[in-house]
Order: sequence, then C-alpha cells, then structure tokens
Amino acid sequence: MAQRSVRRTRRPAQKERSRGPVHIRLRVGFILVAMVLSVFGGRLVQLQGIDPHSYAAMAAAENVVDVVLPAERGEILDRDGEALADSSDGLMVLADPKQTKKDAPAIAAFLAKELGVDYASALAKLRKDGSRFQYIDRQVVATKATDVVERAKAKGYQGLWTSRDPLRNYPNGDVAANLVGWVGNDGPLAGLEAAFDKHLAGKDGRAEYDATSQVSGTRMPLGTNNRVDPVDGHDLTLTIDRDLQYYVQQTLMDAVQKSRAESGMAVVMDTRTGEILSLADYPTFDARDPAASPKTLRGSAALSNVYEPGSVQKVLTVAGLLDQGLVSPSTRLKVPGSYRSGDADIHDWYEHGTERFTLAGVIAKSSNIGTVMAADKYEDGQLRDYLSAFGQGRRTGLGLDTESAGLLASPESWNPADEDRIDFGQSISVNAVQMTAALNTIANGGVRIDPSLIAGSATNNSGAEVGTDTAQRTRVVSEEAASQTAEMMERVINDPVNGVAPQAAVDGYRASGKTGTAQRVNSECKCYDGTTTVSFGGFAPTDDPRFTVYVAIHNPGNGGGGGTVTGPVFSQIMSFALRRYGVPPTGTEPSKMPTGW
Amino acid sequence: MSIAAAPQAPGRSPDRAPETQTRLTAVPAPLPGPTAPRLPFVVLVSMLLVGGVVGLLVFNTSMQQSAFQEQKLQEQATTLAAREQALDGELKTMEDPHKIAAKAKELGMVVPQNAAMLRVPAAKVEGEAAPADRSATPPLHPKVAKPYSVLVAEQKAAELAEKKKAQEARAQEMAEKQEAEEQQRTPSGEAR
Repeated sequence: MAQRSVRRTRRPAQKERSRGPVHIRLRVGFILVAMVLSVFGGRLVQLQGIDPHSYAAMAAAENVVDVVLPAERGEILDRDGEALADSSDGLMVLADPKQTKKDAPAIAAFLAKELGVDYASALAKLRKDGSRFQYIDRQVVATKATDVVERAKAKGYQGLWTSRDPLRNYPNGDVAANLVGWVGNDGPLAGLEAAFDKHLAGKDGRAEYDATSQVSGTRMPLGTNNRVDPVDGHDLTLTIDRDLQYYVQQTLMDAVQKSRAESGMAVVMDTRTGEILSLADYPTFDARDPAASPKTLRGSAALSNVYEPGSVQKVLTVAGLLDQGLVSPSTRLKVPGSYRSGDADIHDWYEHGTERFTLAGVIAKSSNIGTVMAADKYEDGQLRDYLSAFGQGRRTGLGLDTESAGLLASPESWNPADEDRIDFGQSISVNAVQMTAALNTIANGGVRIDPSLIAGSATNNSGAEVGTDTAQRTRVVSEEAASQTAEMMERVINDPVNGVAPQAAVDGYRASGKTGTAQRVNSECKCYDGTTTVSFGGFAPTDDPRFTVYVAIHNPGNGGGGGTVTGPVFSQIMSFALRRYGVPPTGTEPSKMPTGW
Repeated sequence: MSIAAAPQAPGRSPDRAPETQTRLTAVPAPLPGPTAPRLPFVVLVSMLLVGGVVGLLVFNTSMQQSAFQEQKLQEQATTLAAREQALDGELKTMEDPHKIAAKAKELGMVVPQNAAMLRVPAAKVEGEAAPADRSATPPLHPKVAKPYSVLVAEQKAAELAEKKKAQEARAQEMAEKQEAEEQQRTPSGEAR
C-alpha cells in the first residue's frame, strides 16, 4: 500500500495508464497460480489416487534395511563331542562385470593369487557382457573374503562384493564321510546331512529396520524395528567314535589293498548297547572334496549294498537249533563228502570223505553239509522265524533311508531246497549292519538290540524317531544257547586241528568268531560270477563280550578266504577297541569243546 | 440484555420517562490490583520450551550416537566371531586323525599290539604287555585312493593300449617281412 501511495504521489499521470496492465497482470497471475495449483492437484491425484503404494514403498525402501538373520546349522558330533561336521560363517565373492571389465586381467590375477581361483575362468566371468552378477568364489572363510575384497578396493578395483554363504566344514576329511555325507552349494546331498536335514537346519530369522543409509546400515533409533530371531538347528550326536573309526577305516583300506580286493566294509558295535562305534567303507570319499570321487562311492555301501553272507550265517542257524533244544554242541554228526538237496548236491569248501564232527566241529571247520544235516531237525517255518527275529530281511532302522532291507524269502515262497542253502548263507542277502546286529545277539546273551547310530534320539526327514533311546531289545534265543554258540565260535579261532581262522585270534583275550566265504551274485547276469565275498564276524571276550566286529571284503584278488583276508582285520580292530576302552581280559580258560569224535 | 435495551429506549417505551433513560457508558477499567508478575511466567515457559527442545535434541543425538557406537561394536563382534571361527576351524583341522597319525609316524610312534592294564585300586596288572611293533599300525594315506572302478577302467585301458601296440607291432613286422620277401623275390626274379 505504501508503495502504491508513493507511486501515486510521485507519478499520478501513470496511474490511469497502468490500470489496464494491472488487470492483465492480475489475470495472468491468477492463471499462473491456477496452473501451478492444477499441477499440484494432478500430482496429488497421481500420488494418492492412482498409484499410492509404489511411491510409499520407494520412500520406505530408501531407508529400510531388510536382512536375513541366518540360523546356524547344527553340528554333527561323534560320541565324545568331537565335530565330524560343523558350520561357520562363509561368504561368497561376487563381481559386477560392468564395473570389473576394464581392469579384468589385473583383478583376475589378484583373485587367482588371493583366493586360488582359476585365472582363465575368473577373467571370463569378470568380462562377461550384459551381466551384472557373477560368482567368483563360493564358501570362502568370512575373514579371508572380506579381507580380499577390501584389499581389492584399496587397489582401486571396483565391482567386487561379498554375500552370505554359510560354510560347512568336515575337519576329518574321509573319516566317517560315508555316514555324515556332505552339504553342497545348494543344500545337503548325502548321508546324515541329507537324512536329518530338518533336524540340523534350523530356521532363518529376519530383521527390518530404518537405517541412516542402505550402505552403512546404521540403525535409526525410534524407527521401524521388526525382528524375528533365528532358530538355530539342533546338533546331531552320533554313537561313532571318531578315532576308532579312523583306525577301522585305515585297517580296512590296508586289507582291501593288500588282498587286491574291490571293496570292503567293517562295523564295530558295542555289545551291551547296540551302539555302532564305527562303520567303515572302503573305498570312500573325502567330504571336503566330494567331487573328486565318483557318485557311487559317496554313500555307505555297508548299508546300501546287500550280498549273500556265506558261512557266518551258520552261527544263526545253529543258535536257533540250540535254543529249540534240538542239538547240543557235542551232537555227533557223520558228515559225508556230498549231500543231496532238492535236485542238486551240496559240497563243502574242501574235498573230504566221511568226517566225524561234533556240532562244534561243524562250526569250527565251517562244514556246509554238517550244518544242513543238523538244520534238518528244524520244523517247517522255524528257521525263518529265527532269522526274522535276528533282524534279517528288514531294515535296521539306523535312520538313513539309503539302507537296503536285504532279502529273506517270504513264508509263501520258502521251500526246503532253499532252506538248506539258507542254512549256510546262500539264497539270502543281508547288509553288513544287519549281520553285525544278528551276531551281536549271540554276544549279548541271546537278546537282540536294535543297532543305533544316533546317541539319544532324533527325528529324520521321513519322520522316524531313531537313536539309542528308541532301540528295542528282544530275546531271540536263550542265554544258554547263546553262550554255547559263543563257545563253539571260539573253537573257530582256537582249535588247532579244525579251527579255520587262527589268524583272527586276539592276543591276550578269548575271542569268538566265524568266517564266511560266499559266492557273489552278479547283478547283470543274476548268476554267481565266480567272485567271492569273504567275511569274518565275531566278538570278544567270549565269556563277557564287549564288542562285536564284522568285516566283509568283496572280491579279493589274491584268492584268500574269510579266515586269511578278514580274520587279521578282525583281530586288529578288536584288539584296538578292547585296549582303547580299557577292557581287561576275563582271565578264564578258553573253550576246549571237542570238535570231532 | 443491555444491548437489546439500547435501541428500544427512545420510541418503543413512551410510558417511560426520558429521565430514567440510562446512557451507555464504557465500563471503567478495572483497578490495578495485586496481579502476578508476568516476567517469571514467561521465563518459566520459555525455559521449559527451550529445555524440552534442547533435551529432546540432546537425547536424540545421544541415541543416534549410541546407534553408531552399536554398529561399530556390532561390526567388531562380527569380525571377532569370524576370527574365532577361523581359529576354531584351524584347530579342528589339526585334530584330524589323519594329521595326528602322520605326526605320530614322523616321531616314530606305532600302535601297540597288546597293552597291559593297571588297576590301581586293586593293585594288579591285567593282560599281558607285548613290545609294540609295526604290525598293528595301519598305513597312512594322504588322500582317498583311486576307487576300484577307476582302477579297473585304467587297467582295461592299459591292456587295450598294450594289445593295440602289440597288434601294430605285429602288423609292422608282417609288413617288414613281406617287404623283405618281396625284395628277396625281386632279385631272384631278376636273376631269372
């Protein structure tokens, strides 16, 4: 107003002239204001009416940090708490080729030196056209990865960063790798890692909060703060004894290589609890580098591979007979050189005329004919019931789904000629753990204990709860039958005349065992192909057994049998286990049960 | 109702004497009484205001400061945890039975074949000790040996290669022989 009055007083002549332009100015001003306001209005409608969410989200995303809080995968431990598999924070190193392209050769050389990646492939990745995301290295130890990326930045190399990639470690390499399995880049792929994945995995948590910036990630106080804590996975404690497992694996490897055999397996079981202390396979693989071994070796053959057990089976046949009171260890048998069964003849492993064996002698000398003669006393169906009670023909329930059940003929397809062969371990197939559990029944006074691999209990992915807590005990044969069988088995090792496996003797201890040499069924021709599976199973000390050890070796190239190839392995493993657990000798007199008459 | 009464006054109540008509006057200003001093109140309110704002500011700043501190410590904790894990991993790798066995072998140690056990409370020795030899010590192996299937394949390949070589050698021999025969024949032919 003041200005106007000033103008009026100063230049009254201009007043009339400028009236027109004032109106125009006003109008123009109004139009301008209206235009600006319509733009505002339009923008308001656009923001609030048409697409409100995307803008709200963009605004929120500007400052909201959303991170996954990783759950830690449970460890797999041996019975003493030594880690067989554990987890640590790992990182993956990633590259943005758009940024790395110009320095690609220098960066590739740097990464090859620091991370040990292949120079040529790293170079190709760093130069990749049209890509903004390339894996350079995965599962790198966190400290190393951050260090390398930071040093790269310091050198002026842009476009490298890290991201979470949990690391699974197998500090013992191939020790128990056949059981533990491994976790690959994309998840668990074999063994207990796969079978108990749900138990081990845990559940990732999540945190969402306002941050000062996306890069620094400093939390803004009083901002949004939503947090779901991660639930860590459970540990899995095994009954395996790591050091014993190592010894068993090495001893088995030595035996397989020395006998120029194809493969082998060995099981050590705690007689009183059914806990598997060691379950070894050879060949096996290195869990730190599974890709170096063929796929077929990356599991446990001792569980998945079934074969005819051969003469070790005689122990079970005879234990049932003793339990029924049909025979005694001193039952006298006149064993001919050949025996008619069905439309074929049964022979022994060596040529002989008529031999005079006691039942103990039949076992000590491993006579097929003697066993069949004794087993003829069984009534129909009795033998099958016993074998089924010993656990043959069904899975042992260790918790690994790769286990095969083996083959025990059904009652409908059972026939006398087959039964004669089953008496001495043909026409039946088993896995090594089944056989160990069956022999352990004899060692444990006739009570079978379900073998277990998990200490306590755990639920596997198929929902089965397994472990020592759930192991069932069932009486299969009487205590007397079991101890008589054990003494007869002692004669296999200690009878200087008829015993076939003096190599299996355990220095300073009484030991019982049984050899087996079985022809192998070729899966291609479904026939015996001339190769053999040699085995030895037994326990010690005979009168108060602590461990049951079972060893089987497939296709020894040196033509050895159960006594010569696997007997010494049994002896070494048993001796080591007894010493390791401080089991004193019982100090009783060894059995002198007569084997002939 | 003084406002309503005012316009009514002159014409609408003729019965009333004009003397009784009161004039509207301004209400006299209230006498200056004992009022509270204004300044302290203003100061108090301003102080409260300023104090509140400053307090809030300081509080906010300190919270932000502690957020930075928290992040710094968090980073430190992460680094230390990673370091601990790395060391733990190294330790576990050193406990690998393979490594221990190799070290023991370097020192000339062997697995004893038979050891005696001392039962101190009972004052007796159980079992018989025997001098340790190498018989119970399994060999070391640094890596998983070649699997059987691979060995067989290699053996077959080697055999095949040998056979091929032998065949080639035989073929060459035959060729040489033939050549020699031909050469022998040729001169004889020429002689003829």
